[in-house]
Parts: sequence; C-alpha cells; structure tokens
Amino acid sequence: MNKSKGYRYFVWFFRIFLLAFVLAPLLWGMRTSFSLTNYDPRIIPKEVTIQNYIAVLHNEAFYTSVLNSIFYSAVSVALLLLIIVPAVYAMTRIRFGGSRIQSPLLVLPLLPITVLLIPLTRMLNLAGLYNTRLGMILVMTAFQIPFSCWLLKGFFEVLPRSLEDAAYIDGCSRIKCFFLIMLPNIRMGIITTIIQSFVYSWLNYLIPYALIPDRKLMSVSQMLLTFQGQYGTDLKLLTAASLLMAIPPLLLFLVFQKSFIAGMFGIESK
Amino acid sequence: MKAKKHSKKKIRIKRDALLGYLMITPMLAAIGLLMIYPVFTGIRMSLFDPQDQWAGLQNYRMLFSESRFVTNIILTLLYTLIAVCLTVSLGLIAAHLVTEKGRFVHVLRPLLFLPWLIPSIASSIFFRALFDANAGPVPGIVKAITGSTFIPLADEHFSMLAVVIHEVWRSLPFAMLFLAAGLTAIPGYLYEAAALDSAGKWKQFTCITLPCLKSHIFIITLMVTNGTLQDSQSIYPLTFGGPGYSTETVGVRLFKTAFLYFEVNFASALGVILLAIAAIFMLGYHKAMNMKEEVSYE
Amino acid sequence: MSQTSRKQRIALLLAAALAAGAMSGCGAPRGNDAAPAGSEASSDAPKPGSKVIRIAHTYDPNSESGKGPHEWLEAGIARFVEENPEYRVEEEYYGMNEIDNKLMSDYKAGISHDLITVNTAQFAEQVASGGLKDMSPYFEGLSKEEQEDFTWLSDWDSYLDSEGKLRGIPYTLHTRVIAYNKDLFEAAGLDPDTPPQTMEELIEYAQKLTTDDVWGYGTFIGAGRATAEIAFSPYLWYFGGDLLDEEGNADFASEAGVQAAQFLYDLIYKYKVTPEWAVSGDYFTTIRDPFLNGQYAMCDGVGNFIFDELERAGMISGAATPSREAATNNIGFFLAPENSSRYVNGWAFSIAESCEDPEAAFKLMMCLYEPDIYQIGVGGFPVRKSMYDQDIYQGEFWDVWKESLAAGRALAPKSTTALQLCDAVAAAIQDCIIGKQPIQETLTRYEQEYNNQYGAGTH
Repeated sequence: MNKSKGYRYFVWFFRIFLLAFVLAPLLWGMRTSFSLTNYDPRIIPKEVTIQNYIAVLHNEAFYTSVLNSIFYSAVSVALLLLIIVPAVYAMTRIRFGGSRIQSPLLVLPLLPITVLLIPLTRMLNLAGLYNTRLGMILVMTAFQIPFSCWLLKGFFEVLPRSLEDAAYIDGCSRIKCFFLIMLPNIRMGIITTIIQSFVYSWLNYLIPYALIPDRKLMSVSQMLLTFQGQYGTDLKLLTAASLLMAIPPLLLFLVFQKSFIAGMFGIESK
Repeated sequence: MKAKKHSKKKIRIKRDALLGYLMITPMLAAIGLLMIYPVFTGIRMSLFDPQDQWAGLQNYRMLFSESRFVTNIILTLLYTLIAVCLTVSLGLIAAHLVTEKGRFVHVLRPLLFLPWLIPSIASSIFFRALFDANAGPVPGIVKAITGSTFIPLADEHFSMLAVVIHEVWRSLPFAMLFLAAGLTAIPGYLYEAAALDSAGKWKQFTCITLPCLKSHIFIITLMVTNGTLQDSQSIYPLTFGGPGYSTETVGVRLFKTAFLYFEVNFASALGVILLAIAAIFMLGYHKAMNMKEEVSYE
Repeated sequence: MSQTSRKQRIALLLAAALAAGAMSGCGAPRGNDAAPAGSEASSDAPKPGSKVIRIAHTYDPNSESGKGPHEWLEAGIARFVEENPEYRVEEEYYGMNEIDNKLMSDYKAGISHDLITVNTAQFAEQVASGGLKDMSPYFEGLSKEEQEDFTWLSDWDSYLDSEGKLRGIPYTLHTRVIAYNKDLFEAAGLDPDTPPQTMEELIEYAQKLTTDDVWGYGTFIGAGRATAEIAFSPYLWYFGGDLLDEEGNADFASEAGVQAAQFLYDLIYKYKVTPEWAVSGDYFTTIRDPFLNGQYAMCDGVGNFIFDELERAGMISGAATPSREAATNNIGFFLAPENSSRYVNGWAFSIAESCEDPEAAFKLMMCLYEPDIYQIGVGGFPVRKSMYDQDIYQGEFWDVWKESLAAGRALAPKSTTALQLCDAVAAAIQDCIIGKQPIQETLTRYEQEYNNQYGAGTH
C-alpha cells in the first residue's frame, strides 16, 4: 500500500493525539499530587512538593488497605482458578450435557452488580459472613466467573484434540491427562486470567463498599474514599493515593506483559 | 466382542460425564447461589415496601409516572449507545495506527493500558479536576482560545458529554488493542487480492476488515454496553448525577437509591428495570449478529 | 525460564494464596477482633475487662480530620474504663457518609451495637427504623442541672420521638456564617469593620466588591445537598417559608421558595455578583478554595469545620483548637440579612436498640461529655451550655458563631427522607438557574414528584 506523506502525517498526528488524550488526565492528576494547595490553575504548580505522597504513605489506613487488597485479590484469584479451570475444561473437552452451559454463561455479566449486592448483603448477614473477609472473597470470585470462563474457554478451544488422544492411547486417565497435558499448555491462559482477575479485584469498589463497611478490612479503592470528607474532596491527597494504588497492578502487568497481551489478544509475541 | 467394547465405552462415557459434572459443580454452585438467586430475591424485594408489606407493582407505577424516570431512561440509552459507537469507531481507527510495526509499539502499549488500571472513582475525580470551572485546564484552555467562559460541568448537555468522554477514555485503550489484535489476524493476501481487483481503501475496509473483525467488534460492544449500563462510579464522582438530573442514568439513580438513601425496595425495582434494559440490549445484539451472519453467507 | 519452573512458580503462588485464605476463614469471622491501642492500654488494670462495650463512630485516627476528635474519644474511653474496670471498650469506625446506612442495615440484620453516633440529618430516619433505644430512663437519672445543660437547644424536640421518648443527644454542632475579606473591602473603598446588614446592603456591597478578579458574593448552587443547606435555606427562611410544611409534605415551591430561587438566579444573572461556576464542583472547590484564594469578597456557608484551613492560610488564629485568644486577621464573619438563620447540623450519640448493656453505654457517653474531656475538642461546637461559659469560648471571635448557633435551624427535622428532599431541592434549583426554566413551574413540579414518593400521604 502506498502511503502518501499526508497519510503519514495524519498517522503521526493521530498517534500523538491519542497519547495526549490517554495521558492528559493522568498527567494532570500527577501534577496535582505534587502540588501544595488544592487550588492552583497554573500548569506547573507554584510549589512542588512530595509531602502528599509522604502523607499518604504515613497513613496507616494506606498500609492496611494495601495489605487487605493484596490479600483479597490474591485469594480470589486463586479461588477463581480453582473453580473455573476444571469447569472450563469439562465444558470444552468432555462431551456431556453440562457443556450446554456455555452460551447462557456469556449472558451473565450483564447482571447489574448493584442490584445483586442488596440481596447479597442480606444473604451474607444471615450466613454470618457480612463484614468478613471470607464473604467478600466469595462474592468477588463469583462475580468474575462468567467473564473469566469465557476468556479461558478460548484457550482451551485452541488446543488440538490430538494431544489428548495421544495421551489416552498411552493409557492416561482423564485426571492424569488434565494435570500433565492440559495445564502446562494453557499456561498463557492462566496468566491472562490471573492478571485480569487481579486487576478487577484490585480496582473493584462497589463490592467492598457494600459488604465491608469496617475500616479495618477496607480495600484500596475504599481507602481512596477516606480522602473524601463530609463536605468535599482533598484532591491532592486523592491523586497521590490513586497513583500509588495503581503501582501493584501496573507492576504485575509489566512483568507479564508479553504473555498477557499475547494471551488476551492472540498476538504472537515477537 | 463388540458388545464388550461397547459397554466399556459406555462406562467410560458415564464416568466422564460424572467427572464432568463434578468439575462444573463448584462453578454452578457459586453462580447459582451468589448471582442468580439474588436476582430472584431482588425481584421479590421490589414487590414489597420498606415495612415488608406486600406492595405489588407500586414501586414500578411510581417510577413510570415520574418525569425524572423518563430522563433516567433516555440518558441511559443515550449514554450507552453513544459510548459504544464512539469507542468502537475510534477504536477501529486507533487500532489501525497501533498495528504499524515499530519500536514505539512496545512503549505505547503499556502506556495505553493505563486507563484500565486506574479505578473509575479515581479517574472520575481526575476528570472532575480537569473540567473544574475555576482551576481546571480544560476551561482555562477554552477561555484562552475563544475568550468565553465554558464550564462543561455546569451545563446540562456538556456534562453528559464530559461523562461520555470519560467513559470513552476508560474503554478506548482496551478496545483499541483488542481490535488491533483482530486486525493482525486478518491474512494479508485478502487485501492484496482486493487491491488487484482495484477495490478502493474504503471498499477493502467494509468488505474485508469489518466482516473479519465481526466477533471482536461484538465482544467490545458487549463489554462497553455492560460497563455503561450498570456503571455509576464513572459518573457519580464526576457530576453527582447533575446538574439537576441531567447525567442521572438508571445506574446512577440505582446507586444513589441503594447506597445513599438506603431505599432497598425501590432500588430493587430500579435494578429489575435495569436488568430488563440489559436483556433487551442483549437480544438486540444477538439479532444483529445473526443477521450479519446470514448476509455473509450470500 | 523452563516450563516446569514457571508452572511451579504459579503453583506455589496459588498454594500460598489458598493457605492464607484458609487461615483467614478459620480465624475470627468478624473484622473487629483487633483491639485498638486505646483499649489495650486501659486494660492493664488488675482485672482485665471482661465485659465489652462497643462504640461506633466516624473518627478514623489515621485521617487528618479524625485525629483530633479521636483524642477526645480516647480520653473519654480511658475515663470510663478507669471508673468501670470490669469493662473494655472496642471501637468500630466507619465512614461519615456510610455509618447511618450501615447501622440501619445492621439493625435489620440483627447485628448488634452499643454506643453509636448518628448524623443529625438522618436522625429521624434512624428513629423510624427502630434502631435507637429509648434513653429517657437514663437521662432522667441525671441531675436537673445536668439535664438543662442539654435541653437548652432550640431543636431539642427533634431528638425525641413522637411519644416524647429521648432517642439521642447531640455532641457536636456545625454551623455556618458569611465570611468576608477585609482587604478586599478596603480595596473597594468600604469600611472593613462594618459588614452589610440588610438585604439591600448585601447586594449593594457585593456589587461594589465585584471586579474582574473578584466576586462579591460566593455561594454553592451545585449538584448536592449543600445547595439546599447553604444557598437556598437561608433565603427560604428569610422570606418566611420552610422546606416542609406541618404535615411533612415538601413546601419549597411556596411563594417564599420562589422568591429565594429568584434571588439566587438574580445573584448570578442580574446583579452579577456570583460566578456562573457556583453551580458546579463541590464545597471545597466552590466555597473554601476560592475564598482562601481571595476570589470571593464575601462568602456564604463558611463553616466552623474549615477553621483548620483558615488558620493555615493565616486568616484566623486560635480557633481550630478553641481558645480565648481566637481572633480574625484579615477576614471577618457576619450574618445577613438581619434575623436570618443558617443550617446547623451535627452528630449525636444514641444507644443501639440491640445493645444489651445500655446502662454502661450511657455511662460511657457521659464520660465523653465530662467537661475536662469534652473540651479536648470534638471537631465542632459543643452542645453542653456550660461549655460556653468556659474561658475558651469567651472573646469577640465567638460571638457571631454563638449567634448563628442560637438562630440555627435544621433543614427537615423529623423527616425520614431529609437526604432525598435536599437532593430534590438542589436539582430543582439547578434546573431553574442553569436550564433557565420558569421558576414557579419547575419548583412545583419537583415538589410534586417528591411528595408523590415521600410525602405525608405515602406513609
């Protein structure tokens, strides 16, 4: 395809526009997090300081919530994998009636979570799980099942049946085959699911808000809300905290970047 | 001999099926208990009043007689449709630009993923700061260029625009990368063949790119619809549903009613309505997908 | 990295996460098991506390705004444990905007609490939910003097239920006044020591003070309750109206309401003393920050809860921690138009209906009210009349604040849907001002829709 000069300029212009669009709010947030006062219309604030970050880091609530969130995210990811990996394997590989679940499953993410949270609060209360870590993890895991199943399903479907059949001929039982053959090959799928799920749990706000009002159990997203007082928002502390809070998932993402993007989008990593 | 083999196979199939059911049971239990059962509880709650007396359709009647509710519905539909259209179309354009190979792609991709990693409350507040009438850069820039004061969040129409921009900001990177992946999967020879047949760029786009990306577009549409219908945290911290009720979608009203006013039964009614809207969208999308399939077979 | 070692890594991670999950599940299911520092220190008395009293509040000791009041709580708790060593106090803290809903849903779910704090705006709602215990028997056990120390409040009635039983006692009050910038007054040629008093003077001064960079009168007409609290209510009351009528139906579309709304509209478009962006943002961006930055010559709705920031900006001194030497530097406070009222809100103590030891809860509460402890500072104005006779509240600085407290009113006392009412009012006003809709019709429409859903006839 012949690319005229005009086209190239357009491409570059659009690229820069895109980057600017994506980064502008983040850069403004970062700039606010370094400023001394909440109100300063200049592009570079009059006084630049890191005291906001220090204030956030000194805040005990910050550590509590980060630890809590790491805990919630890690455990719910683990639980999620435990539940859906065998399930998706069964649905895609085993020929039985249960595999018809697949299409209805795709519809479930449409259930508005806000609606579900109200009855769930009551239900958890009755079970004594309201305001507990366990209750929160159960709900968070459950809500992620439909989307994660769909994600993982793609990986299973891509694997050729010949692998399995070869194993059967060698006398492998179903279960052995599952552990020794399937798991290693969908490594990428599992990584993708781990990252997707970790980020979802990390960022999720409504579920902790509804299920865990206790400050000692709060997650990072609720911690952000502590910077919102009864009358208004402390913007500089909030932006500092948000940016700090984005670091763990960002790290995770960077470490597994290649696998994740390849897995999520099917691009061959070069 | 054959009978023995047959029964062995039957046993194996039965054992397989048993294993299969065993493997999907935890998932079904989790979904059934924590996602599906609450729906019925929610529906039930919407038919009662706060004193736990039977109220029938009273909550629904109240909603449908309000002018506020009409606004809610219209805004919800507008918000979802515009967000979907913008995200998909801009995403397609952007996807073309990102698939160009180059060293920038490695740097570009993580950066473009950032909006996905910021929680919606935080990005709402970032955007509120951007649009802040007094100190925000956006009104400041507009004033510098046009000289008139422009306060998006104080205007009934522009605040909705601000909300849409925020939502597109959140979903665009993801959509763009997803569609880009789909683009790279399209075999190059299709384009070459089309070029030989002297098909213009636009024709190539509509006859090759679009059909090949159909399932990707569908997924993105689904995700964005899903995100916008239920969403309250991308709107409420940004505009509080205002000014007036001009950015109050059903999702935002549901959030206010359930978590701020604590009107549990009324909120359940709103939730059921939201569920119905979501179902209608799903049906619509399904039909659109099937129709497209039929066309491509011609 | 080989396949197996990566798989092992993932497997190890999963195993560790699951193990952690299992351990958490086995541990105490309730999250309140960690006893905070305060109660631990007090339990090294000879008999460790065997009975537990819980206090649910909103003062997170780790947050800036919660630190101060938390010291008061700690002192009160220490005093209580000293006098009742068989008890131990556990603290539960929740967010300011969540505690009321949390307590109400807990009551419905059968989760018990002991001493609780309730936002006065949602007090009536909590009474209606049945979750607040009748405190009268314990209150009547106090001496007459002590009782009067509380009952002097003009809205004491709102803490009684329909049968006259006492359901809560406020412990901190917030009120608002108009603040003005003396430097800007001088710059406009006005006497910095005589702020305006009548409505006409207010408008006149505001117009003189408005320049290219300065607005004469700042207020908040944004999306949110503060519109009803700060901008609308003073003028609604001034013109003789009220948000609710006697039966409990919304009444803000009355003639007084239309006049008040028209006044707000005129402030922006006719007198041009209030910026157009007063209709956006939140309290901080539209009231506090512009005033601190000298963009407002006069600003309504300035409350005692921003004393910290005013002090930090050097505008006042000695007020954040109340002292006799409290003084204003380059600003002043006043109330106008004459005889106007401002919104007073606050927080109150109650005993949860589910509390099994209400006597002890009441004792704990009274420890927090003991003068030497109470004056440590609750983040707002104290409720006991005797506190105002103390040295720290003498001085000219406090006069206008005492005036505001005395004349102050609640927005919708005894309404169980105060939040929804304020939101409806705010939305109506925004429609009138931004949408430039005809005022009477718009207010009437919003009032009707509110009454359809929450009016007296629907209960």
